[in-house]
Amino acid sequence: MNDSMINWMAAKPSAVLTLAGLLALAPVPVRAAPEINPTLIQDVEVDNRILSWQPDRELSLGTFPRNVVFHIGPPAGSSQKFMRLRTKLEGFDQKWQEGGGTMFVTIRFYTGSGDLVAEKLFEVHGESPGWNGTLETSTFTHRRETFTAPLGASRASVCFSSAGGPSTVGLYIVDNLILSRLSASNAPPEILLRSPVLQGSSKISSPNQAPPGWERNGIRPSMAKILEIGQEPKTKVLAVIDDDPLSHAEWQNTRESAATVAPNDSLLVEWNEMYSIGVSGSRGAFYGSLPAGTYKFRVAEVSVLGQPTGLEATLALKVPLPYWQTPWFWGLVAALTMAASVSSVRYIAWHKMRRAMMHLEQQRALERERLRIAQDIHDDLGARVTEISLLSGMAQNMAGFPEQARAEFSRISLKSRDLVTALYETVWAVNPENDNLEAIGNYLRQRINNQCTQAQLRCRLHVSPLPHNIEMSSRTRHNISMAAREAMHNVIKHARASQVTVHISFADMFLTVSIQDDGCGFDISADPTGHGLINMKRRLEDIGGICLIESSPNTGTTVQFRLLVRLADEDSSRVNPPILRQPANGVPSRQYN
Amino acid sequence: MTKSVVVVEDDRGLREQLVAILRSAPDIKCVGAFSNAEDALAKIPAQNPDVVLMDIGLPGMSGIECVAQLKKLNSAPQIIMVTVYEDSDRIFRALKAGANGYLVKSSPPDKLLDAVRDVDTGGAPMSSHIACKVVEHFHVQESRHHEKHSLSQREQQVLTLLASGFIYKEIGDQLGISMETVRSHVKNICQKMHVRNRVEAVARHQAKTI
Repeated sequence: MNDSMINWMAAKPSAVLTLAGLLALAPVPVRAAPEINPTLIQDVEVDNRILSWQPDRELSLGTFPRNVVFHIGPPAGSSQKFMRLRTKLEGFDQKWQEGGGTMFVTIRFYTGSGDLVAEKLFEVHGESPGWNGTLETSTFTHRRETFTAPLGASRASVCFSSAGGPSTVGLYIVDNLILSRLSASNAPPEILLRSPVLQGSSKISSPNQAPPGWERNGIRPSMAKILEIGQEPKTKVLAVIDDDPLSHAEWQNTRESAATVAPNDSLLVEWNEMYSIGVSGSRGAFYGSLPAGTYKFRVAEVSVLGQPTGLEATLALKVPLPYWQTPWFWGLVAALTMAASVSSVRYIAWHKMRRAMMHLEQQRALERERLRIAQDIHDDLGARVTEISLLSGMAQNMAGFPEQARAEFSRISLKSRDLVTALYETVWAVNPENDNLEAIGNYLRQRINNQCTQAQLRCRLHVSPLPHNIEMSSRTRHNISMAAREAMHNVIKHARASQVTVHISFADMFLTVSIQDDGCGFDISADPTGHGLINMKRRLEDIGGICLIESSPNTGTTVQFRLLVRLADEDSSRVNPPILRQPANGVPSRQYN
Repeated sequence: MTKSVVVVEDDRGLREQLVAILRSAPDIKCVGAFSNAEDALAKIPAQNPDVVLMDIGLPGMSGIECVAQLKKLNSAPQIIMVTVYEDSDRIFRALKAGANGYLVKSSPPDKLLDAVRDVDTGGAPMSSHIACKVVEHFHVQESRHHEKHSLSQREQQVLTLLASGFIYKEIGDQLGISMETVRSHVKNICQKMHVRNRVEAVARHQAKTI
C-alpha cells in the first residue's frame, strides 16, 4: 500500500453505497425460471474416468462410485465468466456448497522495528448463519477468540481480508471489533484496539474515505467499502465486497494505530460479522463414495452477495444398486428358487412315481411270472397227475387183476388225487388273481369242506362276507391255508371227532378263522409240542398273526387264527413266492406257551 | 338205457383215459371225442349225444363258451364240466352258461360214471363253495328278475345248507326230504341260473340295441 494507490482509490468517484448502489454494482439478471446452462458443468469424473453425459438424460455413475468430481465453470480457454458458482448434489448435500472460498480476520504481530513476526488467522467460509441474502435484514454473528501474543511481538494490528483463497468472491462485514488484553486478576480486560465507530461520524462522507486509524489494502483496495446496512436508520459498517476472483481487498488498522502488546499477553478479540463467500471460475466439486440412489447435481450462478442470477445447470444422476441389491434380482432369485424347488419337488415326485411305477411294473412282471408258473403247473403237471389218477382208478377196477394189485392201484389213485389237490393248493397260492380276502375265504371253505367230505366228518361252515378289494399277499394266504390244513389234519388224525365247525369272519381289519371239533381234545400243558401246534403257531407268527388253541380232554378243540390285515400290503412276500418255500415240518423245540 | 357221451378234452392222455373209463361201462356209449370246442360244436349236433363231458379250459374257444353254444341247440345235450381243479369261479360261470354239473377229473372212475348216469336227476353233487357263489348270485340279482326265475323257498333252503357245508344226505335229513329230491332241487337251481343268465343276456342285448 502506497500513497499512489490511495490516491487512485480516492480519485475514483462514487456515492456512499446503498443497497441500490450495490445492485447496480453487481447487476443481477432476474429470470422467471432457472435457465439450464449445460456449460456450467464441464465433466463428470468417476474414479478417474470421465463419463460422457447429456444434459437431459439421467447419468449413471455405476455401482459403488468412490471418487466423484464434477468439473464446473467455464471451459478452459472460454471467455465466459460467472460471478460465483455454488453447487448442490441433491440427495446428498443438505445445503449449497460454496466451493472453499475463504476470508478471514487476522491479528498481525510486529516487532518494535515493524517486522511481521506472527499472524493469528480466523477464517470464514460460505455464509454466516444470519445472512439471508440482503444487507437490510441479515443479522450479525458474534465471534470471540482468545490467544496469546507471540514471542517478539510488541505491536498488534487487526485486519480483515478477502485474500483467503484463489478465486474467492463475496462479502465480508466485520463490525464492532475489539481487541483487548485479559488481565491475570479478575479486573476487566484492557481494550487495546477497536474498529471505528462510523455512526454519526461526520468525517465519513464518502465511501472511499477511510475512518481514522484504518486503511484499505490488497490488490484492489477499492473493494474494501463502507456500507450502510440494516433498516432505517442504517448503520455504516466496514466491509469487503470482493467481486474479482483474481484480486483481494482488506481493511486494516494503520500501523500508527496498532496496539502495544507484550509477548505472552493473553489477548481477546471479539467482533460481529456477516458474510457470504463463494468461488468464481472453474473448479471441481468433489464427492467420496456415493450410496446407491438418484441424485441431482445442480450448479447455480449467484451474485457476489449470494443471490441467484437464474443461471443454473442440473444433471440427473443415478448410482444403481448392485444387481444383488436390486429388487428384480431378488425377484429373479426368488423366482428361480421357487422354480428350482417346484421342479425339484416335481422331479422328486416324478422320481418317486417312476420308482413306484417300476416297483409296480416289477410286481406285475412277477405276477405274470407267477401266473405263468401256475398255468404251467395247471396245464401240464395237473393233466399228467390227473391221468395217473384216472389210469390207476381204472386199474383198480380191473376185474382180472389180483386183489393185491388192485389195492395198490387204489392207493396210487388216492395218492395221485392227493397230489392233484396239493398241486391245486400251490397253483391257487401263486395265482395273483387270488391275492384278496375273498379268495382266501372261498378257498378255506372249499378245502375244509373237501377234507371233511373225504374224512366223512360233518362240516358246518359259517363264513361272513369277505371283501374282494382287500389285498392279501400270496405268502399270507399260503401260511393261513397251510395252518388251516394242519388244523384239519389234526382233527382228522387225532380228534376222533364227528363234526367240524368253521367260522371265518372279518371285522375291524381282523381276519379270524376258527376251526372247532367235537372230538376228544387233549391236555395242552401235557403235550405242548405235538399235534403240529408249533407249526401252526409259527406260520401265523410269520405273517404277523396269532394262533390260539383251546382244548382239554373230552371237550373238543378249538383252533383260532387271528390276523390283522394291513391295507396296502407292502411286505416283501410278493417277491418271494411261497412256492419256493419249503413247508417246514418238525421245527425244533420252540417253547410253547 | 344206454347213454351216448361225447368227450371234449384237449389233453390227449386225459381224453383217452376219459374215453377208456366211459367205455368200461356197459350202459354208456362214447360216441365221440374232440380236442377242441370248435370241432365239438361242428360235430355234436349230428351225433346228438345225451351227455357231453366238457373240459373247462380249452385252447381257442373256452369250454364255458362252448357250453353256451351247445345249450342253444334244439336238442341240447346235458353237459358235465370236467376240471382238473375245483376252481369255483370257472365252474360257477360254466353253470351259468348252462352246464348241468361238474366233476373233478381225478375223481374215481365210479364217481365219473355215476355222474354221467345221474345227470338227468341232478348230476354230480354241488360243493359248498360253489353253492356259496350261487347263493350270492341269486341274492345280488333277486330284485332284477322275474319271479318265475327266482328260487323257491325250498331251493333256497337247500342252497343255504349246501353253502354251510351240509351234504345231500344231511340236507335230506334236515328238511325231511329224500336225497333224490335234494338232487333235483340242485338241478333246478342250476337250470334257473342258466335261464336267468339267458334272460339277462337278452336284456343286455336289448339295452344295447335300444
